[in-house]
Amino acid sequence: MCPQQLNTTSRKLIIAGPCALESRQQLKQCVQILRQMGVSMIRASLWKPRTQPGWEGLGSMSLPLLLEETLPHGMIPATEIISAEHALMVVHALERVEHNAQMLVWLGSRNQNHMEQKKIAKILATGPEGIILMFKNQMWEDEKHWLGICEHILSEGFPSERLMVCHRGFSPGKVPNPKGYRNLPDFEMAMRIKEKTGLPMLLDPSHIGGSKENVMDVCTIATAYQFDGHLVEMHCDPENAKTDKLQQLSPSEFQALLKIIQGPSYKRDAA
Amino acid sequence: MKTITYQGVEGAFSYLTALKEFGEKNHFRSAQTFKEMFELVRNGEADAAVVPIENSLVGSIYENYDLINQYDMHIIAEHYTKIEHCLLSYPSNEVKSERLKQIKRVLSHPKALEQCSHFFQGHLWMEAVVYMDTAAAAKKIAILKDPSCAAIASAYAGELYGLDILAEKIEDDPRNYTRFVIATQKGSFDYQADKCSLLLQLKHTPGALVEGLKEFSIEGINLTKIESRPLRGSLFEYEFYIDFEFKGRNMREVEQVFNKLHEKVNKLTVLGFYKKGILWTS
Repeated sequence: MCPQQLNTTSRKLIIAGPCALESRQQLKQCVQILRQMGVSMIRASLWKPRTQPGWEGLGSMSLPLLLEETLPHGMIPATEIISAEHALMVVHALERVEHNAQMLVWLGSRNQNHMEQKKIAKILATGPEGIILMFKNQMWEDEKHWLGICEHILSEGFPSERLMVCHRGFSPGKVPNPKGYRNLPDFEMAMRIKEKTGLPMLLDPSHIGGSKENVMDVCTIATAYQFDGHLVEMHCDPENAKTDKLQQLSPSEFQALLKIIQGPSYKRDAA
Repeated sequence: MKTITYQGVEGAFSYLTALKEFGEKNHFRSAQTFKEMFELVRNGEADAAVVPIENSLVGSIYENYDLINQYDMHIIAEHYTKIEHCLLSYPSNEVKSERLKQIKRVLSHPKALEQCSHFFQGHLWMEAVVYMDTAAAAKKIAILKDPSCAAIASAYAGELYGLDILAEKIEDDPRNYTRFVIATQKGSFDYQADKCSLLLQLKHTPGALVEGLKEFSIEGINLTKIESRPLRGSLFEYEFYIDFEFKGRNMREVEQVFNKLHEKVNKLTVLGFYKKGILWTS
């Protein structure tokens, strides 16, 4: 999958999987389920920035595990990276595996040190061409800042052909929030960023919604906008998830969500 | 206001089910064929389709099982409609017994004619004539105004097209119910659900079906239906439609069964979680 293809295909990009990688067994089970659903990109965070002190993910040692359990099955792994050190690890790990292997890494909303962002972009730009980079919006609502992240990344030579954006909502602050979203979306701003940057724009309904019902609701509302794909948290046993258990969908819920995302005009290949 | 599509003309049992499920304040759009109904939903011209899936007397409507899969539909509800057939004719002042003797041809859907075979055995002078559907037959009788022709359809269709009921409840077996499912293109998740429909593609190995079904048995989950259909693109391979009820069970327990099933099957597709349907009289 190349991000550029997103604008030429009617099929939206779906990246789904657990919030955090918890074990090899968990990853195997998720890969199996997602493959059966026709989803070929799996998310699983290794490094978890947390609101409050808590479990921070399996860390660097689990990077080989992520690649081993995904790439041989034709799945593209996706994970968040926080620092330049993480970017280096991804580059080295991907250089060691099969030729043409792809991997998606993203910069999260908490990661707003532009110097670190630039270091990451520079390292990834020199790495294998299979690396796709995505950046989410920052936590506070500021269109200029969001555009700035893009400019910082491009200024370090990371190719725009392998760059994507993701909207995960803004911290609600004191504005009315009747549905109790975890983060408030600004779909119009997301569409403006998409137009100004010319990059594919994905939606992260999990971090906007904050609860299973809200995740469904956000995706339903977002069908009115031209998002190019979705980044969704799905766990095989959400009630026992180590992080964000309220917003992670079960496989059955995720399957129902897929039909919301694809919409009525979606035509299955076999049909 | 939603647009609901059904196969047949106004007054058909599918129409009656649509009316009961969604209420009068919606737009009901007729489709000539089942396929047309699915096309309307896929193209966004209808929000939902009312799909007859099986009848208690004549069994499954295989075409619709295949179309649900082919069009990647989502099941959001089910309903059981009691099918009660009436003999309908154009209004006249003559006594009913005389009018019955005049009838030579009776139009209706082949399944409806089949379900009223005892009636024809008792009225041998009447000829059963196949027509596209029950309500359309009633409509035709209203247009023909011919006392020698009658239709078998619902009492509602008789009222709708201004026909007299010459005989009612003429079906052979009063336990005549059709199970309808409400299919949409858009997914949803009903957290109050107590029933689920699944589609399984099994591995081509000995005992694959038994191994898969065992997971339900271990958890004490009651299967209510299993139906095999040919797998498109394969030769003599099949996929299995499975319905099961889980009232009083935690949704998580069901998900755990699915997690185990995923390891044993090639593909597991949840067609929908929904509330078990109630029995309705037409």
